[in-house]
Amino acid sequence: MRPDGITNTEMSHDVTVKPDGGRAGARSCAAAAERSARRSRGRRMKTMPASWKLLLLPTLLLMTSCGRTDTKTLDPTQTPPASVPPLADLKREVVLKSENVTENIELRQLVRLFLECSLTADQNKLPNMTAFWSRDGQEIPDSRLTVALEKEQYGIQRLFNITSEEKVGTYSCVFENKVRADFVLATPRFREKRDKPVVSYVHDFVVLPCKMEGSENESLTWLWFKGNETHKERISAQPDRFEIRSQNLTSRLKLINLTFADAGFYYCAAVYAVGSTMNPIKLKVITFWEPLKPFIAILIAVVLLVVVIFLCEKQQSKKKVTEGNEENVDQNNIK
Amino acid sequence: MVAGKQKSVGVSPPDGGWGWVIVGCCFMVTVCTRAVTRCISIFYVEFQGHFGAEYSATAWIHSLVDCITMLCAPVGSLVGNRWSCRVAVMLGGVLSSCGLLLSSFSTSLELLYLTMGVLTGLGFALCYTPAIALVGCYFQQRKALAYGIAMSGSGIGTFVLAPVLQLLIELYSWRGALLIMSAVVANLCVCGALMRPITVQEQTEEATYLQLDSLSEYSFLLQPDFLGLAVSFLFLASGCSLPFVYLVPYALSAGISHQHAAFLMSILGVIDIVGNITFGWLTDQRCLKPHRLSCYILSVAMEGLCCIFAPLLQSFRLLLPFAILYGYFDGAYVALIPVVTSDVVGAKHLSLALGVVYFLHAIPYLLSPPIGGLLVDITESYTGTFLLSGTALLASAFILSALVGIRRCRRQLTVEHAQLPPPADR
Repeated sequence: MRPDGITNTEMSHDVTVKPDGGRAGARSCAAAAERSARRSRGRRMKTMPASWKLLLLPTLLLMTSCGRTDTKTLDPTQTPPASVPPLADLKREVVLKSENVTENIELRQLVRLFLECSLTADQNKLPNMTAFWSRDGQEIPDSRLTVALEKEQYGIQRLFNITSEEKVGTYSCVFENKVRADFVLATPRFREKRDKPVVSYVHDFVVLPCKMEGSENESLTWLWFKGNETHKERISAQPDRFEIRSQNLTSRLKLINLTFADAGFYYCAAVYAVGSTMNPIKLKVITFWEPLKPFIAILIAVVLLVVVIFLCEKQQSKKKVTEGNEENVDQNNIK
Repeated sequence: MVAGKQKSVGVSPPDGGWGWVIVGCCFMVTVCTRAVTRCISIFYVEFQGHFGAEYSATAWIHSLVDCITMLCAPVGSLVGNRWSCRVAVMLGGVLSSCGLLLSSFSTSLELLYLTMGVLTGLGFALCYTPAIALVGCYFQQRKALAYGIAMSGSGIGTFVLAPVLQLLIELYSWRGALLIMSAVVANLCVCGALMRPITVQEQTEEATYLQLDSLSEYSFLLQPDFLGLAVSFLFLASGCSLPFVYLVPYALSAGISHQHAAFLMSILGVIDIVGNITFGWLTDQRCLKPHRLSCYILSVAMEGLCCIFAPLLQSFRLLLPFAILYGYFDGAYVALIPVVTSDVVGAKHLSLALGVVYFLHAIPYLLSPPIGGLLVDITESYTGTFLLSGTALLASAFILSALVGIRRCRRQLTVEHAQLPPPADR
């Protein structure tokens, strides 16, 4: 990573901010100020004079940090929510030559995303190149930069705080010569897609499973829906119809006492902080008559065959007996 | 087998004619029993999902069926002997069909153990041994070839049934698939109907002694030849099932892809069929017929050697010849078991002897895969399992070769004492 590249990003802004809730926007600054004021007021009830100092210091600190956020122009990608758990860091680098590159990024949690694009210089070897970042096809304002050629490459970097579901999309770095790299952010996809319907019988129960790939101790929230592409209805556990059992990476929906109305599409949704993914499962409900038809057909064939075989054998043995009698008669005649 | 009341004059084994129909029936019996047993593992995923059970709980079903089929083999051979092979097979067909029918309505895994494990296993046991014994009655010159064709049913049956079962489960879920399987297994009754009894010349002399003591019926058990054979079968059964169970996990752990590992199993199955038929035909040739027992010993020993060298084979290119060799010799010895047994005890005791032989397979079949699994868990590699399997197979071959050696010595002694006639069972 280039040391001077840091200045291209908004990282300096973040470094000065307190680690836990420090990326406070204007709203949260006021809330934090109110909180500390309340605390100081509480202390003021016990010891009057010293409390002024106690009130002054935190308020001053807050004002200075809040002030700093207000002076810098807020970037659309930089509006963080009120209180956020510590974000993990995720870094992706792409080296471009002459073709566009698409990179798929699987997000399971909120992240600070460092994206770096390096364009290898062509024969022209221009000293400078302009580039900008775009999100979902629209250029991010104030992201256009002129980059100098260094070690045969033009490098551009940016930090994106993916702090909510709305921030998930496709981020691209676009260079002047129309070469671009797309970073497609998405929640994890279901790997096992079941294209055959689950079949079950009326009055029986059926278990629809959903499994997501991931690490062992990851705990997911699961939701189930019934419906079709356009209209989905949330399923909640009802004692005599549905039973949902979710455990970490798997979830099972048990439908009890099936009827024909229960047939259709069911969707299981794995809910992540950055969004959710759905997996459709088709349920087909049939009566026992369906497999009974081939069963009875084969049984009838078996019974018929057995009867035919026994009849043939009886006939053959009768023939042998009559032949044997004829032979005896002939022998007697000869005698 | 002997329809004890018939007083017809015995015929020499036809070696053809209706005999081929009997071979076809035995083939169908092997398909409906052994192949169906092997394909039960296809239902595991469905049972796990439906009843919320673990893999080990569902794996008991296959072990139960296999064990009960072998454990009750003497019952089957007894029924076949007392009444007739036809009665035994038809009864077995009805029982196993009912077992599968009841399991399609099952509401718990324990009930499945009872219906699909015990009842179906008992039905299979009633069919398997009498059918094999009847083939031995109908053939003498081409016995090994007939057995080879008959026993190839398990391989060909698995090949055909596996995709058919998958399709049935997709269309009708496991309940419907079991229902249709029970109708398919009912074809055992058709096979039974075709199994005409035959009295072979050897047996007419015995037919006059109808009131045989049950003890003297089992007198062959005390023959030292048969005892040696029995011990070797115990070792054989301990070693032969392990590679089938652990080849795919071993291949996967050696870094071979899923498709290649599945291909290894398919090759094993197909070459098994080839081994059944070709080895049967080979050992029927006049030059090899007197040395049938040695051929059997050779095939078991070769299998054992393959297993011993298996842990050294760490790539697909090396495991492919292993699969081919192992599959061929596995098919070879399976076709020869009834032949070797009939060579040792004689055709008149074949039915009961086969019952005892398959009974001896039961407990090793049940115990050796879990023991192999325990070895894998403890040593965290598959070397121990393959070595165990190879050693058991080699021990079986060694015991039999010792038996052959002792026999030869005895024969030389008896030839020297010229008064005693040479042993009649050759």
